[in-house]
Amino acid sequence: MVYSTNSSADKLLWQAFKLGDEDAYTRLYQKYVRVLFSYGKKILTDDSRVEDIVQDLFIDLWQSRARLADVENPRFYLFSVLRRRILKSLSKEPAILQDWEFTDEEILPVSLPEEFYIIEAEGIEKQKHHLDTWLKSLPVRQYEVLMLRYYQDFSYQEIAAILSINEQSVRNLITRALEKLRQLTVQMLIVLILSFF
Amino acid sequence: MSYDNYDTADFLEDPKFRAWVYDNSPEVETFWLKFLIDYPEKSDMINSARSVLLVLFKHEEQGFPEEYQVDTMWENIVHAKERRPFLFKSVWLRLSVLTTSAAIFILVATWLLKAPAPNTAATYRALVQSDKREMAEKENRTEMPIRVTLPDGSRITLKPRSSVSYPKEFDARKEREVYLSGEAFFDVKRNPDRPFFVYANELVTRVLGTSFSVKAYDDSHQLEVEVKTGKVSVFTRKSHSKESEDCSSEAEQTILTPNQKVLYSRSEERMKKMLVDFPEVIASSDPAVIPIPHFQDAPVSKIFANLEAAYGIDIVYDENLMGNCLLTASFSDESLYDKIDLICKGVEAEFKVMDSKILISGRGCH
Repeated sequence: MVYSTNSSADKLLWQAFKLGDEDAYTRLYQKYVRVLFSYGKKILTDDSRVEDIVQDLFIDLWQSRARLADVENPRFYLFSVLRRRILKSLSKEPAILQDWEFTDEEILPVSLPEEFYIIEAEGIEKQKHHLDTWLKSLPVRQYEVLMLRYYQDFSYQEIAAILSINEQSVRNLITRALEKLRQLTVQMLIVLILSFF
Repeated sequence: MSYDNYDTADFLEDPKFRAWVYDNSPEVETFWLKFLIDYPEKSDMINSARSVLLVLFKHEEQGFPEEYQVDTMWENIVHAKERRPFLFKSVWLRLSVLTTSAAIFILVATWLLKAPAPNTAATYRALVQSDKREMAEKENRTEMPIRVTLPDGSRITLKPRSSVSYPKEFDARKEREVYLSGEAFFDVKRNPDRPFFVYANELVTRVLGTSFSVKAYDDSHQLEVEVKTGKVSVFTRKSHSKESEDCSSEAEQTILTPNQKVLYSRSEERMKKMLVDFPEVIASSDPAVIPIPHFQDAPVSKIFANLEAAYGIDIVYDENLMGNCLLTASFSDESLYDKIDLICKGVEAEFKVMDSKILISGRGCH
């Protein structure tokens, strides 16, 4: 599972890779290519573009390995570099950059798709669907922070560094995302109760 | 630690909780099962925090690349990762690479600058409009290549500022026809009964099943077809239409094999066959055509024969004079031209790329 990232093992891999160990390099790639790709896709959506950026990242990594520092947490390093590169590639298209980087998240309403109100079966299926709806309704920024914090296990400090915002903003984004989940849960409960009459 | 005031967010924040959901190790499992007994009132929050983590994982997993994408990216990485440092290792090598590419560039440039593109040229729009079938069109207005899948399963990688048009349904018995403006790479599903035609301005490319790219912008002076695998034949529209009427004109037709390309000058209405700028090893399962990485005291003729087979190109040299020169050489990810250059240095020879062949001239060894 991706979550179990033993960072001291990663550190050793990194050191071996820096010395030119191809095996360590291959393992770093195999270990991180999927999550990095997935992260890139959330922002760029276009597969071939994400492929190019991930590819270039690993090529440059190998070519500059001798000049790279000993990093404490290679996973953190990879995510930071990937995000910087995506931003750079986006900056060639100012319109898209604005779309997702500066959208005022407060303006986006918590909207529920219609099928949400159609009650079919109760239980787990519904809860899953309900959570899916929640995740999909989140602004990119909030989703990104949730993912980095709870799925990738980064600390608030690390997330702040990856996104170049301050720690408090990271906390606010998480609070807002969870608050939205709470609101949805309440709404769902009301709908559930009403459906009994 | 007191869990009395724990809510959903606190569970999410707890690394031990996340380890339970994501890692499933026995000791955390025991801990949380006991927890559920001690704090039954927390089970709703635990469930909801657990579901949040699982749905996050599911969403991320949906964004994972397909395994073939992981492999393709890795191949590209391995291929490119040594390229730059190697090219700049020696001044000699750099000079020789520069001269070759400069030669090609000058050749193309003089050809291009000679005359403006004729106004009467066949353009994409006119070609598409003359086709009476119901057409589908894809236009790439982004800055990145996009993928297009045709009704027969063939795939097109369409470069920016390019468009393709094709019948919404390919006629089951007749040829498959596609119109192109701009640049695209084609990966054609093999079907010997239904040849595949690409109409790009004045050029027509005919294939059975193979991969190749076509560059034909409406506003440029030259058109280009490059072959990656298989065999394609390229002819001009004029000779193509004549051919279908009286089958007499074979003059303007060229057969291309992998690593060859054809340039068509619109002003001179002439085709020129040459090697692609970066020849690649032909993908093949035949052991005879796999490049051998190391030669120990091998006759040059043997090394050349291996390169010819691996890249599917002709190397022309005086076999009596040089064929028996012995050479020890190790190759890794160098380009074909770099390999040839290394060999030439070893036997005091020089090489030139002429049309679709590599010519080697030397005085033989002592």
